[in-house]
Amino acid sequence: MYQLDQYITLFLILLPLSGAVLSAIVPGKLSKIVALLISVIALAGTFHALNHFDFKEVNPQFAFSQPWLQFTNSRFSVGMDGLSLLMVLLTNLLMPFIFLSSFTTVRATNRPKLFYSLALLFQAALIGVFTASDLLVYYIFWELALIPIYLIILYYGDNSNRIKITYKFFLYTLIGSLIMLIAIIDMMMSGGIGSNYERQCWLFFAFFIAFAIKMPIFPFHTWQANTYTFSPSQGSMMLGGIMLKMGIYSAIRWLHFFPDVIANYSTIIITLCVIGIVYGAWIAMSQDTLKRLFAYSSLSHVGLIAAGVFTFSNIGLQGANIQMISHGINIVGLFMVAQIIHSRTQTLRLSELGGIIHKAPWFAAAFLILLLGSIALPLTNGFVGEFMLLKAVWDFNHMLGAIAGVTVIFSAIYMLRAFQLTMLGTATEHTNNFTDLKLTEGIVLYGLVALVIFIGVCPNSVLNYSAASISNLVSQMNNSVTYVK
Amino acid sequence: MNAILILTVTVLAILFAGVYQQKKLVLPLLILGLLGAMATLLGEWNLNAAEGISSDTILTPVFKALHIQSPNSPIITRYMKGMMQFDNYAILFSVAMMICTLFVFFIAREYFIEDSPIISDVYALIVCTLIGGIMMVSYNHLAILFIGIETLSIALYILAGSNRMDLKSNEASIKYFLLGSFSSAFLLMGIAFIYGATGQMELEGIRSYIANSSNTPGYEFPIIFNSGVVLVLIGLLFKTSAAPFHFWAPDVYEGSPTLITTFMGSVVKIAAFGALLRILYVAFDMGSFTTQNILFFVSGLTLLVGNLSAVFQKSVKRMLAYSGVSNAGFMLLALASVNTNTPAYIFYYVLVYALGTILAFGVQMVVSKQVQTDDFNGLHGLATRNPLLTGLMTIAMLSLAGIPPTAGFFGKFLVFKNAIQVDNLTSQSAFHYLIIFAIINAVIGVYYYIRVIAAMFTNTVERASIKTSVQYRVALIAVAVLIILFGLYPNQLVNPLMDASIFQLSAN
Repeated sequence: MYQLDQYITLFLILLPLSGAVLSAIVPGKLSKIVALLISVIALAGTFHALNHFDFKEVNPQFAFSQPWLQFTNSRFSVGMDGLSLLMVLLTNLLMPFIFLSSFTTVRATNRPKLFYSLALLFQAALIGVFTASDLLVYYIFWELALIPIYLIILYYGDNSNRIKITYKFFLYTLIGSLIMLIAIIDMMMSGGIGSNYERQCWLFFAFFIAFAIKMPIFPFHTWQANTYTFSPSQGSMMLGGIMLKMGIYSAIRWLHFFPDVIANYSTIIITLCVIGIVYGAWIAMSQDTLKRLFAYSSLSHVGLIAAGVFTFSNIGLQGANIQMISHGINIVGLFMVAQIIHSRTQTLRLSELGGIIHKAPWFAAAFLILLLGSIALPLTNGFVGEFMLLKAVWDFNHMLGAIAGVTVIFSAIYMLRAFQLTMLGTATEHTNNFTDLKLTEGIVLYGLVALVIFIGVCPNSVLNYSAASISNLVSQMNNSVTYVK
Repeated sequence: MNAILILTVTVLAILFAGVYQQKKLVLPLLILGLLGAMATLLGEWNLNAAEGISSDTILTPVFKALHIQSPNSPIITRYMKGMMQFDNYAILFSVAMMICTLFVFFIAREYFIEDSPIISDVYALIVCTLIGGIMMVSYNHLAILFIGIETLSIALYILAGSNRMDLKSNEASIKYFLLGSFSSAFLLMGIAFIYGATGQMELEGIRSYIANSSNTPGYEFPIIFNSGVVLVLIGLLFKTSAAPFHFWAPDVYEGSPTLITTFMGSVVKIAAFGALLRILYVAFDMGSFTTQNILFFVSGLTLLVGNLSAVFQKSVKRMLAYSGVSNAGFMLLALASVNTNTPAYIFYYVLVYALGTILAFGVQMVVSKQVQTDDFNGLHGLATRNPLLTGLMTIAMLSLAGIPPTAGFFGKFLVFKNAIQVDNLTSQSAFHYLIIFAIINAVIGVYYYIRVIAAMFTNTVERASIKTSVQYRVALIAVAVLIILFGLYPNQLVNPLMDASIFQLSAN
């Protein structure tokens, strides 16, 4: 390993951060170029890290650590193990697509500097969340990520209700964060989680609520649908593609320290997750607005990922890893589809759309592949993850596994219904003048389509990175279960 | 002590400059006086008390460069026969007040742009207030505490009414004066009672009285001493605008000229908490005495009243006044669980709060000047018109709300840390509930702070963009940068006071 490699993690955090400042300073027209350039460099840096990654090492690699706060003995330490690396890859892979997708939208062009600056700040914060090895550092990045996305939705969102919606979004997620903060301080004061079971329980649930709100797990999901629907497309992409992975990643990263509590409560938690799967799918089936439909489908998919995570088995966690990446790719693609439809027709209502396939075959083909990835057809990216997750839930509890498995059918129903109502049939007055993809739109959609197929065909190229960390994590948990009620 | 003399001379110089119509001299004189005073104060920094954890702050070279004593002598720098004591605590609080005052002066020109012959009077009175504030954090004798509070208050009563043509300003002045005199009377009565019970007015004398009495088996504190303590606390809590002594705050904040409100919200808060913490820590022996229970309830009440009232305000200025009340509640949470680390935490919190307040009022000052109202809808569309002002206000709000990476986060963090630490040690279950209550209040607080942000980022209204002077912008950007820097490196502010010997108490 080269000498400079230890700074890669730090570089990946500082690069978007400096990009945020830079794109705020440069003249308005240049800021989107700067943002795209920075995100591409970040992606290149990530690939460098992938190339130099040691597959057998379970400790954080490319680690950087420095004393920071004396009054809590905190160090500023960041680093990437396999799990972190995949999440960093997801973030840095999606950001260039998100920036590219913003090139054609109208709303991002008023005050573009603000948007690109905030988006880069968001990227930096997320990389920080995914790489932090110190709880306090982690927490600061966790909250930092909230500010830019809040401002983006607030300023660029397209509904007069957005003030109320963003209040709910901000305050809801903040309540969870503050409870987690108290748990973090408590742990700092008394040196870790200790061996007292009652104490572990309170710490566990303090963390769990924060993560559950972020993911979101039923019944903490009520902020989600409205926020997704009324965000600007790029905001929805960031929220659905990257930000909700914060919750899942954090659950894997931090909750595995509580094996006893998990052993006692995992049935309840997984049941909640499965309720979320069914509930999300059920509501998605009756939605008339495309974005809302995607929001509820996201709730359903994330429910399955969360269920797999809380089995804390090897296959469940690995399935969660690959499914997080797949879901990120798919949801960004789907929101891109929604954005294109909206920019051409000014509506997202299924009842007002139809017949687009005749006007824009390339567009329809991309939509179809993304959609098939989302409903987990074999050879698309969704299949591998969904299969592993269902296996994990089935192994945990046959009943829950069966219920979760049935909902895969639901997901095919609502997704194909969306495709049928928008693309097939006869053209309506809204879709009569529908034009096919522009260049940047084509790059975004077909780039994502390529990823859908690539991951679907060779999933091991992703799974290999996290295999060592995950199996280490699971064996650690199994060894340290001490107390089962 | 020299700092007070320098500032007094500055006051006289400004007044003469005003008399002889030399307006251009006023600001340079002020800056010179404040910097001189700051330098002499930092020169008295006791390096020996600051060993250990604090050795590596960026301030250390400054202390060393300005140091005027021989480096190894542990002298206690007391003045006026021990009535005042410039220990490290007093020095840092004083310097913090001076820095805030400097920022207030820098943005002052924006406020006084078109008028007026009274500028130098106002400036002189602000420095008088500052002198009172310095006395309030450096007293070692209750008489000096009283004189300090009076110096500060009387100047403030005039300042609150300094906008003579405005009815609200006059109202604010009268209200502040009447209620303030009451609280001074309470304080004075309390001092008299304590003197009657102990025969002492020096802080350490009271401390050893409490220590001796607690060691005597079966001894009960006389009622006159207990009531004296309560009365002194009332007098000081009034100045910190803690509930139920907060009623003056919103009216006075709203009525006073915004520049004076900025000053009140920052410098006066620092002085009040400096005074309160000093008497709790030194005289009442870290609150081992009954004070802790009182502060416990006052803290809870202050949080509740401040937050709930702030939510329903229509005027940004009143909202910020109530936010001051609620932030006082958080600081009282730390004071209710006072221990050796508390001075460092309180110092950090109150300075960061003061900077946030300066930033918020600084922006609000120019906005309300344009739209002639303090209501929230005056902020509408500011993000589109004035990105810089919007960014500054956003940083201020995030800091006041306690969201990282702004410094306000570590303020709240340290307060909670302090409380949880004590909670773990004492296992008083009541403290659990206060902490939970404080968290709920922190969330409520975030609501009304992001209301300001939401107002700026939405509802575009056609207005001209606001023009501001370079001096004003530089000053406010400096404040914002400080807020971010202190948020990234809280060490630099916390470490210098992380030391049990900051008050240079004689061992007992």
